[in-house]
Amino acid sequence: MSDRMRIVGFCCSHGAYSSADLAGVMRISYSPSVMIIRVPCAGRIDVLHILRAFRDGADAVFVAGCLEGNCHFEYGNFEARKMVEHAKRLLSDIGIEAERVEMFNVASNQAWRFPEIVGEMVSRVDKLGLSPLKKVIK
Amino acid sequence: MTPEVHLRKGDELISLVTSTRPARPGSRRLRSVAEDKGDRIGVFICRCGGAVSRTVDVDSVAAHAASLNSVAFVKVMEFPCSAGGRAEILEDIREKNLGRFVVAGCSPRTHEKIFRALAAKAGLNQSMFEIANIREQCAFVHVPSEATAKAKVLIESTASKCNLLLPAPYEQIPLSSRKALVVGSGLSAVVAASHVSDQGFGVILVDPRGTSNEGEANSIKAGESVELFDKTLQRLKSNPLVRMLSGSKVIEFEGHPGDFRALIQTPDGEEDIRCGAAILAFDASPTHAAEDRDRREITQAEFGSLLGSRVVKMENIVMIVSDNSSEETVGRGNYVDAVASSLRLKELLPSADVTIIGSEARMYGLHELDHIRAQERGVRFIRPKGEVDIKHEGGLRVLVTDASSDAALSLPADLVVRSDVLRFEDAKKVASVFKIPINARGFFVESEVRLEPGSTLNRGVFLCGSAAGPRLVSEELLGASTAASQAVSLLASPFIEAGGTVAEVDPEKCSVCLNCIRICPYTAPFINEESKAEIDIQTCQGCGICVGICPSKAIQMYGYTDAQLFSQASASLRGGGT
Ligand code: SF4
Ligand code: SF4
Repeated sequence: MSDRMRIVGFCCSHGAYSSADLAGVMRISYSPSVMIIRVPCAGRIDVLHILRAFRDGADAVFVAGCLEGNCHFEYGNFEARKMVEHAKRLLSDIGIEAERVEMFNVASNQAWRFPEIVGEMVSRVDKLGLSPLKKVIK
Repeated sequence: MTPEVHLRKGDELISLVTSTRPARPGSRRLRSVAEDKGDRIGVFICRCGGAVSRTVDVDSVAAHAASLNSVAFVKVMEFPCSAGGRAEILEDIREKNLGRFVVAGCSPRTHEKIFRALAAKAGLNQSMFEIANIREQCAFVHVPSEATAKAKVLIESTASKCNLLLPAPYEQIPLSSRKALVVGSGLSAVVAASHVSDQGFGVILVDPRGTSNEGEANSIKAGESVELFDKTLQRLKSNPLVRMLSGSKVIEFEGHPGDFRALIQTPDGEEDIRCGAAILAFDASPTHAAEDRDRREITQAEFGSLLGSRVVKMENIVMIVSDNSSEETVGRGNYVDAVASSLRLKELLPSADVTIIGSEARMYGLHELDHIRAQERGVRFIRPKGEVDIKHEGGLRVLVTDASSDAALSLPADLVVRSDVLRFEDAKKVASVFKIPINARGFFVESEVRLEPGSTLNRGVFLCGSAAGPRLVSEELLGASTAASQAVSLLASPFIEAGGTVAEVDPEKCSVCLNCIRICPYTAPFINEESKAEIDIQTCQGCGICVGICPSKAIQMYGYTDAQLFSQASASLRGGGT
């Protein structure tokens, strides 16, 4: 495994993914280390997706859904938050910093917000270093 | 605002669990992954007239894509989404015998529809393609060296998801009824019904209060709206497309857009009807003041009927307008109502002395003109500081401190008129019949306030009137036509499309824990005759919430199965060749 930083961002189609699209249209750049995975709703995310991403070498994972109270699917973003909290607990149990996982809420028209989120996660990884799991993954 | 997660329980849960719906014939299970391996993937990379290729070295990206095991064919194109581009892809799919394809270019948010149609045209299942967003999420935001590397990873991870795609179910279901059911007794109900019938669709108007029979309008909406109500009602009565069931209510409601069944309790017994869409046009009604109150303290609604009777003798009137921060559900038009009735009073009795006490002078739009008119006629406006008190000894006196002068005032009053407190009777019952969540204030929840106002979580059921919250008369009229046009566009469609990105239960794994039934925002899962959970593809909106919640991992979702997401994430972490 190489030593470059990789961050997985599960983005809901209606909010976060659209916000990333808008950031693109407005040419607001952000770190290429983020890999966006599109999901219909943040509520689709299972704790398994987050854990598997770490197992596969992610240095940080975030889930981004619509603003609270504004979820396209009513309360998918609340369910996602629960999953993220759960993943945080499990990760810290095995000695991986809980800060490597985060839940965000973004509206599709907040173009600046997506690059901001990426920046936040990148600076967390800068502080914490690359994932300790990277050493054991081939 | 925090929406509650609406967990289904009680009667509502039971109705979904005890349904006798048979398992969907030919209900498919997600096909095993192995079955689809070996399908040939074509990758079409877009230069986008330079928008992509200026930053991304598309040829090196194409070479990387061609090196991937799963990829059978790669082509760099100028504009794959153009008519010419699509024709080219179509030819390649046929010629190269491709089973699925990846388009690397624009965001799927904008281009998914185009390529879905193309897949169908090529004889593939509509979901057998994926889009790698190398434009908005790559070329536009990264510097050239990074963008090229990233585009490689994006295409690699998208191809690895594409490799695992499964043909999704798509169905075109004919409408069994093109009539609309309209429920309500007030202005919104008759206006919505007339809009629908004017466009040539049948209407069944269920009127719980029976006002359409008595020809008497909802008492709070005074003035012009009474006239409009009567006129519209007369028109409806002479329209052969409209059937009125007065003094009736809906006791059961089930089905799908285009195919609903409702059981209606009429004064002559129960009646089973079919409809393609439903409009709930309820009006919240003002509650009656407590019996033991002082007779000199009344509500705006009561004052309205007093004005209507034209025998007003009181000289000193004080109106107290509650603001929106008050606990009770008050109308949006409190202030508007108070000003309007002060003007009407001044017309009947020019010598009357009127004071309006209220902290929020909300006069929407042109209502502001009334505000000015009332000031010109000598209506007194006071913004209160602190509490407003009423002294009951002898004649009524209203004690208030004027916020601008800090003067403590004691106003004599023959009548004190308060704002109406609106209550939505039977909201809970109606909500559970129509399977629509209600919020903490007792109003129905609209699902897409901005994109599709008036729509609800139960597709095919629309809201207007004050069902979703207090409204001004002008807003109710607008709401009624919005709901009517939504219903009409549903009723006019040639068929209802269902399927695509939907969830599906593997009955062998289902442990019947009911979690999916309780959590789904749209009542899509139910227990079928075989005593297993099943997801109705016509109702499922494809959010995927049930997939993660199912403890038995019995649910998967077309287009976003766990396997697909795992493989996409994994490839995006390892991919790119470096
Ligand atoms: S096991 Fe899964 S599919 Fe079956 S009822 Fe429970 S949540 Fe639904
Ligand atoms: S995917 Fe969403 S809409 Fe479909 S059944 Fe599951 S929870 Fe309901």
